[in-house]
Amino acid sequence: MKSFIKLFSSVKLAIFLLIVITLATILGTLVPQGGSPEAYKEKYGDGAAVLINLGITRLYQSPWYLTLLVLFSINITTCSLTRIKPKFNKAFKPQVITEEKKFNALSLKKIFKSHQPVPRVKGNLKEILRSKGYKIREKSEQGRVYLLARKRFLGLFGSDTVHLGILIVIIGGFISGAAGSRDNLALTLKETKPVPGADFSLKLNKFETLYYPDGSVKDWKSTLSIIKNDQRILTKTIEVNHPLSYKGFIFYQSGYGWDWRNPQVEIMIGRKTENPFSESVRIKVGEKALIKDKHIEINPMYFVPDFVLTEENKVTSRSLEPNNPAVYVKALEKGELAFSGWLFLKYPEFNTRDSQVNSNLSLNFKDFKAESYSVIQIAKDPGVPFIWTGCTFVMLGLFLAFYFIPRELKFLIKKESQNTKIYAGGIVKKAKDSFKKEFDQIILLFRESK
Amino acid sequence: MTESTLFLIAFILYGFSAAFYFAFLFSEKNVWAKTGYKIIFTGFIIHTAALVLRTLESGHAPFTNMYESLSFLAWCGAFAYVSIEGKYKIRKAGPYFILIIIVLMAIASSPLMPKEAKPLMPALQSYWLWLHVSVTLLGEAFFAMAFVTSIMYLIAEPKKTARFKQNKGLTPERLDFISYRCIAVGFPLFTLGGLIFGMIWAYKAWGRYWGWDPKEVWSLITWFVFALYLHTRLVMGWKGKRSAVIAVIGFLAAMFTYFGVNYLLAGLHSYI
Ligand code: HEM
Repeated sequence: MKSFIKLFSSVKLAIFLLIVITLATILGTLVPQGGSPEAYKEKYGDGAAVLINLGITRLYQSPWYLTLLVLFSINITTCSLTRIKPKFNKAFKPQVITEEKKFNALSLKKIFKSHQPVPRVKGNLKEILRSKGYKIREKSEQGRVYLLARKRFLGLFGSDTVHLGILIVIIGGFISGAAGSRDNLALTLKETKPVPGADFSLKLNKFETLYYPDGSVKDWKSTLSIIKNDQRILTKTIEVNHPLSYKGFIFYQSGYGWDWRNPQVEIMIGRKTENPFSESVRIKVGEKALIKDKHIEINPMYFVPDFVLTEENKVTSRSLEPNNPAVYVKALEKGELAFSGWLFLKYPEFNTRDSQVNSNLSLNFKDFKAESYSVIQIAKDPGVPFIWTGCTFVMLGLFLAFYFIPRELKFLIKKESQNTKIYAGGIVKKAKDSFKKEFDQIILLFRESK
Repeated sequence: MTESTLFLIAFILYGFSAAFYFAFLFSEKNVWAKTGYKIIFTGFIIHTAALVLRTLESGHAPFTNMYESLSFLAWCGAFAYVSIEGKYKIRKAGPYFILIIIVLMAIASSPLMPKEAKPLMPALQSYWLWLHVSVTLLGEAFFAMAFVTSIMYLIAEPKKTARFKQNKGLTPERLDFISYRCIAVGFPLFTLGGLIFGMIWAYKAWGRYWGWDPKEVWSLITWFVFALYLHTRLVMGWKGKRSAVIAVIGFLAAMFTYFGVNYLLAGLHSYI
């Protein structure tokens, strides 16, 4: 046990672990993470099996990487614990120096005389020190007075606070890894689906995509309701960067899409000779509409959201975004083929028509409606509160360690023949310059005092 | 006055400032350095105006593409130099450090960098973007400062006895101390901006605070290297040469996180 503590409280081990963890972490950025065995086989050939077996393809979840993190955590804990007791003593049971010669060992010191009597010296010094924010302890014996003035001694615990924070973050990380879960739920408008692992459901009331003037997506907004036992519990509109949280679950806007299988299209009908189009019809793709008194049958047959011609002159959709919606329409007039061709929503000047068909029927593609769905990511991560708590400790500790550096001044005041002799000294580890400035200033202020 | 004119003026002023600082280096006359300081200070103010103007014009934070982010990093560099020089008088480091700022400005203004402000994709519309990027880059500017003083240390230290004795202001000990002070500023900023704000933003945008994305991982690596710097120094008493080497490695890791990851490793952050 003793040797265990000795090993794990050593900073040498910490440095060794830090270097090993850094190198391992780098390794994980050189080999793509989380791919399929086939992909690795293609990339690395026979080496793939070795990489997979050593856990390098899922390095940050591999047992040996996690073991390194556990060792590091034990190291941080033992190291901080073994050092905390002397620090507590230093902070809360400070020693008042009582020997002149100890002043010689201090890194800041000054020995000087004053005409003021001992009690006056003490009073003046205390006043100056208090005005600089020092807390003072004093002790007197046989006409001698000892002062111990300190401030910012909480700064002693800066590094411990950082280490505690790191420990909490690592624990939070393990909790996230072990108990966190995430699912995607695709909801069409007005649809309600149960949330996996919960006793409530999620309903999509409204979904919209906002665009910039140049056509790129600005934001997605989904209005969601939490439904429990057919009761609406709460409703909130979420968007990217503004999730909804409820009972430990968080709902994110993670994607969106349209159901392009049979959208509704609006077609305008007219005659080449007449302008404008005299009539329009709304109809689902794949269905037929009769415009009776004109004896015209309209049949939109295919729809693509982002029309493009392949090299073999085949029509396909470049993407699932409605960038260039097009519909292929066939129309009969009194039983005779009157139109067949592609109509473009955004580029009607490119509308095609079968040149064999002789008719003055003219069609235009005015609008479409497709069922859109919103993809909601559902995350549950009980590690999160640990992470934010740990981060707060880390920042607090860094502030204490670097900008709240303890200062300690000691004084011995004694009578010597006609005068009073004063020994002053200070202890510094870090930020010597500014402490020395303050020290000199205090001595100067004292000299000017009456 | 347009943003690009202001940017150009700032760039030119940085150039002049570096020239004056180099003149100081060779002539050892303090006036040159003092003038150089005034010029970089003016350049910094004008650069600030350029960034403000760009923010007002585009309506979003001035670091959403590579041009903006380089210009912002250069601005952080100017800020770091102006403040450190004001506090610690490190004139001899001036010319080299300003050279780094000039290189950043030059890459930013190269024709390869698209300059137009594009509308922001949904995940980038968050005030955490402001906090995350600005605080991280500010931290990195202080790492850059420590990098320069560490390199100077590594060059100066072996010749300590000969030339540097008379070199009153900036002894190797002083360089070592200033490197440490810069890291003491940069480390908390980097921790807050790069890691913590990054995690908060990732959590808000993607529903996870950490995803082992290459950019995240390299920030962590950078952070480990500087943690190594602090511990070897404080607990094992490493000072001087070994400390300086770690500070240099740390800065290189930070720069790899900033540039390299985008071009060499794929990840979510590649839209920056
Ligand atoms: C990445 C992880 C770590 C970080 C970020 C970290 C951070 C810090 C910081 C900021 C300080 C104060 C430095 C200064 O005042 O200059 C410090 C001090 C210290 N750290 Fe760590 N630390 C880490 C890991 C460890 C580990 C694993 C150990 C265990 C052996 C350790 C042992 C110490 C000790 C002994 C001190 C000096 C304590 C003092 O004098 O107040 N650290 N650490």
